[in-house]
Amino acid sequence: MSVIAPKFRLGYLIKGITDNIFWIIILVTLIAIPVVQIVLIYIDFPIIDGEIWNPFRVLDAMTHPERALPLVKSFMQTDLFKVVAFPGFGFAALIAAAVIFVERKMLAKLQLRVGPFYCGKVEGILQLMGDGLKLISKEIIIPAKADKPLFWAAPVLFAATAAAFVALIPVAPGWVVADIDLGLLAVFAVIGFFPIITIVSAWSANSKFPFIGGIRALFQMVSFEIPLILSLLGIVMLTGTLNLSEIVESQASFPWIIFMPIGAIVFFICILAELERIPFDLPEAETELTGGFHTEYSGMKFGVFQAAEFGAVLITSALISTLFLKGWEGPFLPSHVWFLLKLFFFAFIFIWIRATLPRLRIDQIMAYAWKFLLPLSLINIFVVAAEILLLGEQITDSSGVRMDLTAGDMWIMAGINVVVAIVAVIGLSKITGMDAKESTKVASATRIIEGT
Amino acid sequence: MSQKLPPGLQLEKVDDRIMTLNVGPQHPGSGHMRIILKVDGDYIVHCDPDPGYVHRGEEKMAEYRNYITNIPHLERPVIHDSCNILYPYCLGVEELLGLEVPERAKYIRVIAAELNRCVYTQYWLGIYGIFLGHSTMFMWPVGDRELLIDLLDKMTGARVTHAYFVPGGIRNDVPANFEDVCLRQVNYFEKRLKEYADVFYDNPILISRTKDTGILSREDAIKLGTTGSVLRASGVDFDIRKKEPYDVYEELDFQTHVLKEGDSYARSKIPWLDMLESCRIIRDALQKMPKSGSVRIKLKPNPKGGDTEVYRRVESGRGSLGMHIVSQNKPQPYRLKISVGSFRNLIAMPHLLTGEKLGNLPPVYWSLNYWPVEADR
Amino acid sequence: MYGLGILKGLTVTMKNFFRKPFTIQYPEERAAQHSRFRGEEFTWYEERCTGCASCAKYCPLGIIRIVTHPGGEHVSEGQEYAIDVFDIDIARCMFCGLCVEACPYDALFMGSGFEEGQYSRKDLVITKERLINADKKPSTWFRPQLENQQYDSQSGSSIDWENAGREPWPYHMPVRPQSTDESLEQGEETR
Repeated sequence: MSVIAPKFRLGYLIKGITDNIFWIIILVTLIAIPVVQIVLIYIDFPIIDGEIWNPFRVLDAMTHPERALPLVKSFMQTDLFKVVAFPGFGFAALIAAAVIFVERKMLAKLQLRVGPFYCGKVEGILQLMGDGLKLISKEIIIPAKADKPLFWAAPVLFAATAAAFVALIPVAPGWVVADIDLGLLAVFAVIGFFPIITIVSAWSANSKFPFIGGIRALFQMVSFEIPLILSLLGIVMLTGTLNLSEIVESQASFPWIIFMPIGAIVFFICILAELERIPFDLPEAETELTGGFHTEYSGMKFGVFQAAEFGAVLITSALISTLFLKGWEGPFLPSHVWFLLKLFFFAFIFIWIRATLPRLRIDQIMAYAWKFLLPLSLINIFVVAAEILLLGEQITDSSGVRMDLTAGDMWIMAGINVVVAIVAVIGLSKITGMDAKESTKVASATRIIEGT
Repeated sequence: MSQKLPPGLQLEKVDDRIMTLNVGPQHPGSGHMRIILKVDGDYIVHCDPDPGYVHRGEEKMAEYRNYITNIPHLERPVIHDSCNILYPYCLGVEELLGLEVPERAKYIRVIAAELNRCVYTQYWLGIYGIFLGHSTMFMWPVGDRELLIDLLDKMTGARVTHAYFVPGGIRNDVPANFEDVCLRQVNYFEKRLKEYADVFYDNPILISRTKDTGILSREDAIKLGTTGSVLRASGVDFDIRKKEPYDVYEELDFQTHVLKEGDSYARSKIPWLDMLESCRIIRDALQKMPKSGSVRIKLKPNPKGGDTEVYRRVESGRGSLGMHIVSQNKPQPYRLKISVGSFRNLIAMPHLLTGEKLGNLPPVYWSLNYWPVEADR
Repeated sequence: MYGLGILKGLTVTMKNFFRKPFTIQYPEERAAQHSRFRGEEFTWYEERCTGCASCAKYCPLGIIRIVTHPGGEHVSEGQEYAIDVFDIDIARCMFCGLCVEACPYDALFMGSGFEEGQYSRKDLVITKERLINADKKPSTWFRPQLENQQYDSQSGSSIDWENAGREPWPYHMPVRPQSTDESLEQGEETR
């Protein structure tokens, strides 16, 4: 079992090193230095804290690192840093990898086993790197009749959508990549892109099982988008803004989950369906459809799908915590730590649900969305609108006519909302025939044992 | 094109609405079998199971070995339920050779058979969970099954493929403190079974997925010749341990469970109820077992049966498992026919699946308690 | 009520979160086997084997190959055949233990390990030299004299042919008078 490798020769090693040095010198002198000179003709030296940063200062800062701090600080405020590193792509990719690892370990712990263990000295930390390397090294097989441009583009589009989503979430006060006033609307737009990507990736594979899986995924994602959007309108009505940072700041005293329980529950369930997690897992169910819409993707394409899916998990957890649980606010720890804690809390709830529930059938999923969640979210909107109208006072001031609610009104509203939530859930489930009266009949399972 | 096709082949008409799906052997949800489905939208129009991928010719191989050396071969169709598949064989050969099994051996055989039933049903339950997307329901039963397999390892020397029964008793007596360990493991196992009720059988999603799907009425169940848990889930109270008792089942105190609905939920619940009964049987048998005694009968080196045939059957984890042995004055059997519950229940599959939704294929298919390797022998 | 069934399931899963996992990390720990475990090895005492080839005759698969020649060199006391070849092919062996049952002189025992993987198929045929040189840790399968000595094949101690004892052969040939069952379990030392 020896590795097949050529024998080592010192002459080859030295030749390799000198070749590399030669090429580096050529590239630097012929290309890099002229480009830098040309760039410096057109770009001025940056002015930070009122001082001009010429190359002498940069070299000086390299030997006295404490003088480089202003440069670093101003670099952290640029858009490039925000997109690539901190609240943007680099951060999201790292946290997505952490979420995948946590999922495997937590799921294992709930199932009385140990997850990845060997890769990496401490409890399998490097497992994902091993998986990534494995997927890169596999052959990418393309079916003969597949639609090649779409087949190649689909995983990339998926990852791009998940990455675009990252740009909208506020991680800490002031740390958003795109602080736009229509933040929530942009979130809806990006979520609406996911079904298209799914059906494109399924259709381009030109095979039966992905076809069935893709159509089902399309149905499921589209039918859950409507309650998703409607359930958030209550928050928009109460805060009056679509900007995500302002929504977080408006929860300074109490999180929105207390005041809008129906909205939170409906939003949570719709997110589970959009991400295709169990129990709404049918389009990528292995045992029913051999993998659904990503059956024909092998190698790193599949890896990109998985990474993008977990990126989406992370982002939507962040979204839920932003909208309903105060985002990055918390008592003692810094904001980004609270953000991560809440994110992992929701990821854990996703994993917990995954460990407990089987899958629903596609017609049951869609009946659930259209007959149960949609009326529930509509009830939510109307109840909140009625409360604002009846409880609030109309104020006309410089910014126009608006309704104002005091703190006491808000608490009354919270109470009414909770009662409405319970009544609506029970009532709707009885009306639509989705109540589980069977489960009381079946609880006789445990009674049989006690009786013996 | 009117070609003359060989008999048995038909030319398929291409219909735009109907799609032919091959839920084939290379499918995570099909076992070692191929199911040819014709699907119209979401409804299954025609279903054609195609077993035979694991056929090894057990029955033919049995004609070349004598009655004792046949034992390790005949247990291979279901390796973890091996005691139950050797049971009718041993009973049949004992009848052929006119042997009288000692009492202690009978009790130990019953204990081993019930343990094997639990082991098999746990594995089946695990795969049922995975088919429905419930991976926890795979990990927990398979993990708890390890305890019982360890117990069987202590008793028989091997984890699966026990090769423990011989015509005339069992091959080896149980080790010294077996009764206490067995009792402890069985008590723990019963507690874990009750946890499965909370997470699986009372789970509203499972109920909505399996209730009222694949309903097999009582008349159809009898007419199609189904057996085992499929039959008992449709309201027919037929358990061979009660109706044609063998070994010491008459002296043990247990009951058989019958559910009337005949849908997939009932079929998935009866094996679990049977496992609870098995725990009771094991405890009862451990109490009533004679404390010492021989466990095996001396046989001549190459025992020959007379010029007769014998058919004995047994209730295994899948249903009635029968062996028909024809002997003609030779040490090898002339013909050995095994009739397994899995293959007989398979006939219900096209009957149940036609007209069902495609999403109901996994719950209905696996609830028929089908073990592909055994069905092909 | 709606949702309560799911909550009950969630609490059961959460209870299991705090239990110890039952995974055994294989190369560092091994699952404890029992002394009766019919492992993948064989323990053969050449001082006792007479070359009668009962094991080869009884094997359902016919994987034991024995070649002997009569008398002369390398024979132990009381025997008449010298064994040239004694091959067991564990690539096809079922580990059923019928060969162990067949041996009238208690020369062949099942082994106790299970890590017999090799890199080529030829190495899977255990030859006579390998059998002679292997550690003698016989499994107590079908050998009540070893069980009565409380010998545990998994504990790691070897046992040589004199201490392995010999059991009178009660199950196949009625060569001894019918005695009561208790005495058969004693394990008389007859050689």
